[in-house]
Amino acid sequence: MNRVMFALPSKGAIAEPTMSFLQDCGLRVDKPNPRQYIGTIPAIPTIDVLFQRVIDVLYKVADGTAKLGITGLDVIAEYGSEDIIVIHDNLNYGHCKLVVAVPEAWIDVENMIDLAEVALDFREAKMRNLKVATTYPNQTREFLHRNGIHHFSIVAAEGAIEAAPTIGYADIVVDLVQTGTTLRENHLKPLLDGVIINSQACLIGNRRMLKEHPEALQAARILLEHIDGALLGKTYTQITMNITGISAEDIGRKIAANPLTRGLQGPTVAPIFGAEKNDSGQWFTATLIVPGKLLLTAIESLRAVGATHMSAVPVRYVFLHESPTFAQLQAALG
Amino acid sequence: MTAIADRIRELSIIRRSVEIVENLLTEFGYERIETPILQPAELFLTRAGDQIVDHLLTLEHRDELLALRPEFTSPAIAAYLQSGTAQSVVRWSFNGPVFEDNPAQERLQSESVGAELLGMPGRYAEAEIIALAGLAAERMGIADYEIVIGHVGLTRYLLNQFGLDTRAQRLLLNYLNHQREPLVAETLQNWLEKFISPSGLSGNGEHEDQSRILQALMDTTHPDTALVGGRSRDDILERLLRKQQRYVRHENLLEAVSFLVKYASMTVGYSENWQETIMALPAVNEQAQVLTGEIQQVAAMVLAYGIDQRKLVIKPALARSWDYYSGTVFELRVNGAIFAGGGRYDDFAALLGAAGEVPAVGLAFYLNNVISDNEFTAGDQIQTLKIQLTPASNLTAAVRWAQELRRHGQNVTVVEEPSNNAYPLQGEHLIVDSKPYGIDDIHSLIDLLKDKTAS
Repeated sequence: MNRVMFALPSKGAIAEPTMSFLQDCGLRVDKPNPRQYIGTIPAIPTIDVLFQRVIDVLYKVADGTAKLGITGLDVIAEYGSEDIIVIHDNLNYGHCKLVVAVPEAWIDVENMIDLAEVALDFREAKMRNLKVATTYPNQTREFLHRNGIHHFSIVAAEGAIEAAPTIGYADIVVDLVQTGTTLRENHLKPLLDGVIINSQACLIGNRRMLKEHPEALQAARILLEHIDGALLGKTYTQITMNITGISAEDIGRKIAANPLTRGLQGPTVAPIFGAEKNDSGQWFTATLIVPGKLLLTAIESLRAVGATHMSAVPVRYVFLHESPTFAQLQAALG
Repeated sequence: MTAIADRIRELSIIRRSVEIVENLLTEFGYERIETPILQPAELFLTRAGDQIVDHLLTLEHRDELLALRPEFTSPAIAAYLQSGTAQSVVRWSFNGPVFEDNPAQERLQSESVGAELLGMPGRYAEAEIIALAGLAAERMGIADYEIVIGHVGLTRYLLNQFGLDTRAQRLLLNYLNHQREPLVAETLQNWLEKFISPSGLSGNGEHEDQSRILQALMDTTHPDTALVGGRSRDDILERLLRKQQRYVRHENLLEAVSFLVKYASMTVGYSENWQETIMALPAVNEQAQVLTGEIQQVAAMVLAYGIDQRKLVIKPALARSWDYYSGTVFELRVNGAIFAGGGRYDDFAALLGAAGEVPAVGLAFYLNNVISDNEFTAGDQIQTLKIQLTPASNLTAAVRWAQELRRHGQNVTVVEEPSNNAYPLQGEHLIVDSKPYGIDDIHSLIDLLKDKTAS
């Protein structure tokens, strides 16, 4: 059977979170030797894992060396090509923002219009362009143009660009921010309307490879079953309760009367053997899942219809009749 | 991606359209000037208009940033200033590839022809430049075009009436320039709200806020130390004051925005009573009438060149580039695409180091725009006459025939394969419409070929 190369980030902010994410999805990655760049996912034996820098994940998928990969949306926005298809753009980890940041001392600059005027000041009073340090020249250029800033020079930089204004080789920076601590430590402040892109980790594939290699599409399907199932599962909590009623149908109707406690289709109700009957009827146990963020509201609603002894546990996976993201991928590939 | 065959055809059409424009410019006394394709990027980066700077195609060579020529105007003005001919009137024409790094476009290179009339103030020069665009379009067989005329000087003057500082005007007009029409008042007001945000200096007596802001500036900067991000404490203070003044006068800005929304949407056919429409606007005074009169004078002269008045549209707020042009501006549009554009840009020379203004007006043709719209028709019909060799052909006669026909202005090629438009050579005789022609009959043959081409 043909094997499918799956490129994952080896270093950088999303490297470790990617391993944790895949593990949470039931896709533990085994890396036999920390110095090696290959690994496996025991749950999908046809996949070989290739560890690369975040940007090289994109390049390896683009040139077909890897058919699938995980990288950042910021990288796709900057270097993406027609060969790349973003299969899942909401893996819900590795969140960060690409922002325009200026020295804190520029207390007159709070938004992009202020910066546009400062850029004109540079041009007319200092006869030079505003210098912008960034590793995202394309996104930066487009964003600055869109905000009326035309006279600037991009200073290509690698690493520690937050220090550029202090050192003096740039006036402002455009950089990725997770918490903002690094910016603050370097006496920089992000502009309120200077967010170029809200980024997070994403699953990508090589469009042509997915069309021409069934084993690649099959690997994508299995990955997406796990990922969709786990991501959807994370949003739900399973509640098991004891409740009395004259019949299972009666209990089912009472619980499902509130859409919040209807579960995906309806509650599962079963008699409890050995429990004593009371005036309200026989004891049953009922199980359903509810959105985790509405757990207490659901509990109150269930109490109101007589539920008691309720236990709540996280749901690990919710599998629908098919992986919705895989269905979207098939549609996108045509 | 454009197919190679299409590209070859396109280049052929462009070559002929360049010839048409060049011939026209020569008739008007324009002298062809060459400018280098590769220039220091600095010439454009800090001086050219926004659109050009945005899409400048640059490369680094031995630590110097170079740019592939995006336009002809900057090099033309630089050459004018360096030539020592300043203040004398010159008419220069340019043509060749220009380059643009624009992700929205398929290719980096396009063909442009430009003309600059330098050293000549006044309406005559402006009308000549605008008329050249219209005449060139007509010679190329483009019938369905319109010439939109505006006036950057008038727009600036009207905004001045609201007490806006130069920088505020510039930013407002830049914003206007990059908005898609029609301009919506709400978006402009949102922009304005951000523009006049007071940086904590509210100006209404909240001394604590003012002290806090100024203290923050004192804490983070020092007058004797190095700049922070390229700006000194004085730079920051000066701008804070500017913002404060705007905040205090924000009513003026609101009025200006309200005016601009109406003004920017004004587009009137020349045959309509456009001057009265402008006069009805608020802020129009005597000087504004003088500037409006300039548009009228230019338009009237353009008509004198034989341009149909139905082709003229007046749009006073037409913005080609606010930091580039200073007076009358125009665009010749074909189905919405810009085929030619230009105007007066007297202030530009000062940016290149001139002591004062240099009267300058120019235009550029964007030939690719119209070709992609399939509007250009004059270039499609070039015929190359084919002489077909047969076993009975006299090869020396073939050479003589080809050379004689070329001497009479025919494009000639010699082929071996028969085709519908190839004339076989039997011995020394060229067979056209089954009739043999000897080399002595060339004049009657030329007449016949002309008739065939015409039909």
